[in-house]
Amino acid sequence: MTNWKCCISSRLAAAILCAFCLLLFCQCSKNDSKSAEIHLLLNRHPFTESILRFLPEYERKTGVKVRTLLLSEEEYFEKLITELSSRSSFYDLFMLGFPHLWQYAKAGWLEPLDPYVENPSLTPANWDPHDFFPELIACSRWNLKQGTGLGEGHLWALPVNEEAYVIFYRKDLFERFHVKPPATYEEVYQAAKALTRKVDGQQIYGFGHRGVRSWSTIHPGYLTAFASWGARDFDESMHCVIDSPQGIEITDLFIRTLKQGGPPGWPSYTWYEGKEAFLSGRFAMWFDANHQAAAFENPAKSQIAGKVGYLLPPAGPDGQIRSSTWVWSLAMNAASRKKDAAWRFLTWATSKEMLQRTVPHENINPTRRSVWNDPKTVEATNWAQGEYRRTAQLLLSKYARIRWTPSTYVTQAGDRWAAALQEIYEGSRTAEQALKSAAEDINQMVSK
Amino acid sequence: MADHALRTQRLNPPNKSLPYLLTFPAFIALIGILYPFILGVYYTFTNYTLTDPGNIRFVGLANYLDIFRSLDFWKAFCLTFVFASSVVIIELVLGLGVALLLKDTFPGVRILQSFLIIPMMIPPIVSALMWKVILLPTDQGVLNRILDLVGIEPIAWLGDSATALVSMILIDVWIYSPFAILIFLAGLQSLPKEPYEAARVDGASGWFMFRKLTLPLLLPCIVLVTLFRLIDSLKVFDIIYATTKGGPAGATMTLHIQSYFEAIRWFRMGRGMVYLFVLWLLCFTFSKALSRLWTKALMR
Repeated sequence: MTNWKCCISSRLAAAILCAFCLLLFCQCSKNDSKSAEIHLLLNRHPFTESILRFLPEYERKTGVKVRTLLLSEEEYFEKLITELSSRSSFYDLFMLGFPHLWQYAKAGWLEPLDPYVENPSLTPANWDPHDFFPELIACSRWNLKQGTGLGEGHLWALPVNEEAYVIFYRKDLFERFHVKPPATYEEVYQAAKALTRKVDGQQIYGFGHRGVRSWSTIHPGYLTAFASWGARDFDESMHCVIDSPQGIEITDLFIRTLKQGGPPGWPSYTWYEGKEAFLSGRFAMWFDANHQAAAFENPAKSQIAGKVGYLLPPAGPDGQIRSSTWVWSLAMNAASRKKDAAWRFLTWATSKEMLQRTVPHENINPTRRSVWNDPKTVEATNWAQGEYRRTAQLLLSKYARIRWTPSTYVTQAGDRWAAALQEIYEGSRTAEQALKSAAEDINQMVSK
Repeated sequence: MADHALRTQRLNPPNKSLPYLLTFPAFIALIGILYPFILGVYYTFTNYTLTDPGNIRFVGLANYLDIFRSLDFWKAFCLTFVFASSVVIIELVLGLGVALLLKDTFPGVRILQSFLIIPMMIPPIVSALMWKVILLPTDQGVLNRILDLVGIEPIAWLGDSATALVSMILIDVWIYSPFAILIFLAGLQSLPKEPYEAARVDGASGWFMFRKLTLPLLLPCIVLVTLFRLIDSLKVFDIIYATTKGGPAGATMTLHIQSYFEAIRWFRMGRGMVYLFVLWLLCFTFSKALSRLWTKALMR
């Protein structure tokens, strides 16, 4: 009896095991047959939000299923680093900026794109690589040598969105209180102080800038001013030199401007809170990414539409204007198992036609010359009687460059640097003390 | 009798594998918990960097020595304690106070009790974001708008190191006080009536009864609330991450936030794990001590 039961149970167990193996096999073969499916990890951005609208069209045309995961920026980079560091092949394409490009390329997580660009069987003939702004393609190349080699080596990503930094200012307030639009950082300080006042019962603050403890606080207006003063983050031997006399001088002036002409609680401002504050008329000046003009000039969203002027970043003591820049790009996972399909999608998403179609959805500034000069783009971005386009064009062609030294330390160094700015703002340290201490810590980080 | 037992045994032969089968899920869960923990502790002795996972080297106590020598660690350590002890004390006092008010039945008490648990039903990260809007530094913030009505200048709640930690405590108290209230309410409603009646007959005052009867009888609840809230607030992450990210100027940089910066933002997994291991040691020590106290309180 017992033997009979035993026999039955072992047969049952064997049957269950076989069924399980069969299911597993089916699942695996299903995965294999799913080669016509690619996965995209994307952060919330006008480019991604606009490209998502056109995905059904791509799927219909090519038969390739495109699965996407869209996350807000902070969560996005956490998810991305987890995926890439575990060498997961799940996501084939993702978005990044240059600090991440340097970190991930050095770690071997990015697929070099030059072989694909040069392969006519994979790249459509009308996908013109020379149409991209050469400055932006240069931002996407690096030879993996710490401290040098920007614009050299492999092409690691394709640019889809560019920003440079301007001072947005409220023309109406400047006119009303007879303040001259600033041409130097000292004048920015004076104007900020003069315009921090109650206007028609509402408190206005003269000058706004990001302030949270993050490298992204350093990157826009502050690094623009820092570079204009001739200061640098690292020297040729990757020694942190943010505490140079020029660095201390401009940092002191910049933080003084924020303390005396900025909003209370500056260290709590992210870019979107600052943007909202300017949008709702609480700042007289806002030093940030120029493409935010799309929101400021939209009467449906903005209380200040038509009242905004665009100033190039002020010149430094040597009379030279320098601006920082940022490029969002699409890159391919080196561990991806569907690289050809991923590349085909990449050429579609970065084609002239597609980039042009993202412009009405606020994907500004375009990274292709043909799109930037297209009459539809000209019409869509002709804000403040062409002032926006004039400044954006000058920035892109003359003044805007990546002001960070290419290395894998940008985010670490930038976070520590931002903490130093907050210490100066709080008054717990002078600019000299805070920057010297930050430089020491950064040098320690780099030496490990 | 013996014959009956023998027959039963024959019909239902003892299944020797049954105990193993029953403990198997627990064993799997144990591996699921212990494996990442042991791996995490192992990483504290290595130079593990997220961007260079192929080059993990054993570095002995270097990470520990380096971190224990840094001022940032001790600042984060003290701040974690200040935050945790402040929220636990406030939540205990507030929780007990409100529970005492709500223990008696009066019209609307049930509705009031239902409203009280609303903050607990909202995910903490959502509550924190909601408070971020309330505490915006200019008159865009709800609280500053209200203060403006009574002529008080806007306060940079989250943007000033003098007020940032207080704001964190305020948010935590708002979210978690209902938990303390519910536990105390349940405790108060299950207290025996006889000692109170006897004390009343002897002419004891309300304050005397509270000190000599309510507090001692509620001790298990007090320890329970302290245990849960202390462990939770030592590990606080979501509220700070969503509002200040450790700023301004490190005013809200707790051990957990510092470990996030080290491990996820700066990729230094080895160092990040040291912060987490220290945090685990703290939680473990406190939970052991408090659970022993709880058992003693129950036995009294």
